[in-house]
Amino acid sequence: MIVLRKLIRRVRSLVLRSRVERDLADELRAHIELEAEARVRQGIPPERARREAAVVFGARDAVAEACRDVRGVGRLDDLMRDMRLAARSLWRSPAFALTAIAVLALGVGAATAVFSIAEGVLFRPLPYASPDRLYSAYEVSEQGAIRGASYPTVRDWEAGTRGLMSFVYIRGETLGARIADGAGLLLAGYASDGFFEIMGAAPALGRVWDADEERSGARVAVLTHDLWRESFGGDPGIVGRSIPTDSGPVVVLGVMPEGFRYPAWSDLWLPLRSLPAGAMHAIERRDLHVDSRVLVRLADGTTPAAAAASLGAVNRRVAEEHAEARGWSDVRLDGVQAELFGDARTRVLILGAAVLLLLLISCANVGSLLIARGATRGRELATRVALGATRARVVQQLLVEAFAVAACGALAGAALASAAVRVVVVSAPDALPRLDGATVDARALGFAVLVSALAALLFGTLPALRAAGIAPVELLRSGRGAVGARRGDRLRAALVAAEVALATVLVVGAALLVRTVATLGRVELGLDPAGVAAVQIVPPSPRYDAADAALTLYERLEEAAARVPGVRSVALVNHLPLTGGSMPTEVRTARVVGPEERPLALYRSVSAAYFATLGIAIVRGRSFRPDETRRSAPVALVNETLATREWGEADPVGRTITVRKAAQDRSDFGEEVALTVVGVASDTRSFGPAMPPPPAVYVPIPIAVWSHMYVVVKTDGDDAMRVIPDLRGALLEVDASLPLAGPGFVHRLQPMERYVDRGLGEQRLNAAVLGTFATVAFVLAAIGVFGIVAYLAVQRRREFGLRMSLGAQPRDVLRLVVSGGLRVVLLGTLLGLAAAAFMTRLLRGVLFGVAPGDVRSFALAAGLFILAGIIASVIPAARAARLQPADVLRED
Amino acid sequence: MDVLQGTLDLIVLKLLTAGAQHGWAISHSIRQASGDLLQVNQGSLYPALHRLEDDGLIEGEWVMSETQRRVKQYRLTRRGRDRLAAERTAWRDYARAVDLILELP
Repeated sequence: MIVLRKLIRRVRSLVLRSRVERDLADELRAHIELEAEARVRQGIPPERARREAAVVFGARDAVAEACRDVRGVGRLDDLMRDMRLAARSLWRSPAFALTAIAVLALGVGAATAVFSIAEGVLFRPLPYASPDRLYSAYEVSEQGAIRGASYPTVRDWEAGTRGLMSFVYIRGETLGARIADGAGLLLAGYASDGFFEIMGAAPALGRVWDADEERSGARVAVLTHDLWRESFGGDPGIVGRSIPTDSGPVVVLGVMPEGFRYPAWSDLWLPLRSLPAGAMHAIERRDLHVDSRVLVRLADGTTPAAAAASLGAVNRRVAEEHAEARGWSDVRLDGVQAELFGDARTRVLILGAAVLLLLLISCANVGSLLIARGATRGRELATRVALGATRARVVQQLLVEAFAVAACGALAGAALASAAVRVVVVSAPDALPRLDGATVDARALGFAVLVSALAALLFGTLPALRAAGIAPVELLRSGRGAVGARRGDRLRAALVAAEVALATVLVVGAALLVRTVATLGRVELGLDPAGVAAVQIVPPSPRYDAADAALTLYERLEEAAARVPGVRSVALVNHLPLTGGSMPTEVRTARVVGPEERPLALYRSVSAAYFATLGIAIVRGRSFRPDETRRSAPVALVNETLATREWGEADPVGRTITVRKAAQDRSDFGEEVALTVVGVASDTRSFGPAMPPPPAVYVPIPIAVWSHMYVVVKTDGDDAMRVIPDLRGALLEVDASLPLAGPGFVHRLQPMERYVDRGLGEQRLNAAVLGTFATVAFVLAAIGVFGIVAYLAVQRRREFGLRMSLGAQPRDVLRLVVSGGLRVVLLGTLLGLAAAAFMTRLLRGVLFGVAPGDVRSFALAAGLFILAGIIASVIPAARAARLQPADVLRED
Repeated sequence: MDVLQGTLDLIVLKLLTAGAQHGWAISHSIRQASGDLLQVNQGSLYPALHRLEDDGLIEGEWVMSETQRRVKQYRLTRRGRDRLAAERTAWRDYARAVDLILELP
């Protein structure tokens, strides 16, 4: 009852606050008036009676305050009042308020935005059931080389490890198909039994194939979401439709959800047993290790290490029967997640560290601002204490103000983050994969807001407690209102030094990554991609199955391409560098190879103009002559790496090598042929700038007539894309049924630069992310330095005035202020460089051509901060140097 | 002599047994009834009145005074009367105990 009544009274006090306040005021006023009346009755004149009554009553506000406290409305009321007070006081010092809010917004906004984008691009979960149990399996040679496992081997694995894991074997084959905009070429993944089940994925549309279709090898297909959208217009009616292909019609059963694409090159999947007759050998031969993928799902309780060990044991048994399997017994399992997204752990660490550093910097910055403000407000606070405010109330007021700043900063930061994410999504959709769906990450935003709130609490409390602990009389007497500021100054300087240190770490990291990108960009690819475009031609089967027919087609295509205006030269090659496609072959020379060594080299079947078209230098001997590559002349070129491996420093020209004919689907596959080396070509980095150039052997096209071929053109200008419509037209004029339409990468006409760019994508992303963090951090640290130097300069005005009146020159004052600022910067920079020496080890895995301790990056960061420190100090220093001593000393 | 902390509630409750009074009258009564020995600070009296009202021991109501002034009068409630009886006993016991100690030779 009583509790209820109290509650009602309290709510009434709050709801009818103005009425309750009026009542309180009336009650107290009545008392004074009654007292005055009493005195008048005693004969005292009314004026004096009223004055005396008021004096006797005491501080009316304090009494009212005590009454409010009794009712418990005081606290809430105080809070409301503090909020109004905070708003007013922030409004009155816009420079402080705006700087603090901007600094927090920048920190929260940048950290959240970059994290959100990177998270969306890098770590979005795969659309598979428990993807952490999925691994890609490779066989490892005793020398450490890796290769895919053949289908018969996978069957042996299945038999030998039943219950511990399940396997999927996927064979990649090109599939010429009629799609929306003409004849296209698709990459089909022919997947073994249980593919979708083992992946743990369900279709977004239609269904996947069933066990019967699997067993009978039905010509049915499930499409990737991308293929469905890009080549079939996202038409839901696609399910059940039959697509004409080179190897007969294929019925579409369903479409997988967006993001499901395994292996990454697949456009669609078909059952393994539906392989075209010409490609069936893929599931029979034990010696085929390319163009396939083996996926393992580990049962719960099976560790990757144990799984790899038991697969190795199976391989050793297999090797006893099959000579081919010898020396490749070890098995490596790579997590599918890591394979698709790179080393996620390193990236999480780098990204997390960067986010944390940036947040700490912005918090330190706001902290030093709050401390400075607390110190300069000493007098105001002392006045409030003297007028009867309790210490707790003063602390509360300062905290409310700190939280108001934090709240505004967090709100502005959230707005900034969401705007930044939108801008990035709109402006750079091609630069990053899977960017389209990026949104502000709620966890990142929450974390950033939490950290800034904690910082506000911490740095708001420090000056508040100090202000509350000072005897008001002392503070008021001291005049400058800055007692206790000394300790605050030291703390502030330490905070700014810490800020500089943290920012230095980020700048060093960013410098290392930028240098990595620059180094990679400068790496000699060994070829000149400027103005070069290439298209992969896959002649439709069966018209061009015969080697002669294919050879004739290639020659006609070469001639047609040469007639296109703007094309300077045309070349043919079976696998274009930088596209990922390649075929290794054994190259035998007089050198005796070890029993386990396989003397492999990339097999390049080329036309005579290949080297000139791609700008590959001939360092010894000569290139092919056109007549040699048109007939089956027994000649070859080797690259420098292969030449060094086989002959050391000796001249390879004139030596004999033996290679095997390696064009798949040809009846002469594997046949040995002896060739004379006529020249040495310079190395090319066929797998991108970050990979060392592989050994390569070049043979005339007729020696190995590939069933597909790249037509490479070098154009007059740098923009190879201009000739592409004409080139496409000219090629289709030779044979209109050539598959030149479609979604994929390898068969689309591309300027060579695109291939180079793809190899740099990851490093560019890393550099962009850390670069953004470093820039924001640098700006924040510079603001921090400027803030403390300017503040200290103002604090020491009297001292400077005194010095100048005693004969100090303006430049002495200038030097004093600048050196004060520089001391903080130097300390911070040194600490930062030391921390960076540890932190940059995190980056080891993503650097190329730059050591984590790269002196130039460290020097750059140090120089940058010292320069910024000088600039940030000079402005307030110049102002201090212009002081008129007389004016300053007269102040206060 | 200022009213001792803790006895103000007791004194206010006692004075109100004679009838409803407003704040000024209560402070006036304390002085008169104690033969000018005791006086109360308004900074203590009004918070005490509000606390007693909050606890439901007294009840305030706005009335017109003899001089046609709007004043807030406080009246003892049942609970206040019970509390007074209890406090009074407690005070007597306490005073006697303190006395006994002070009378020790």
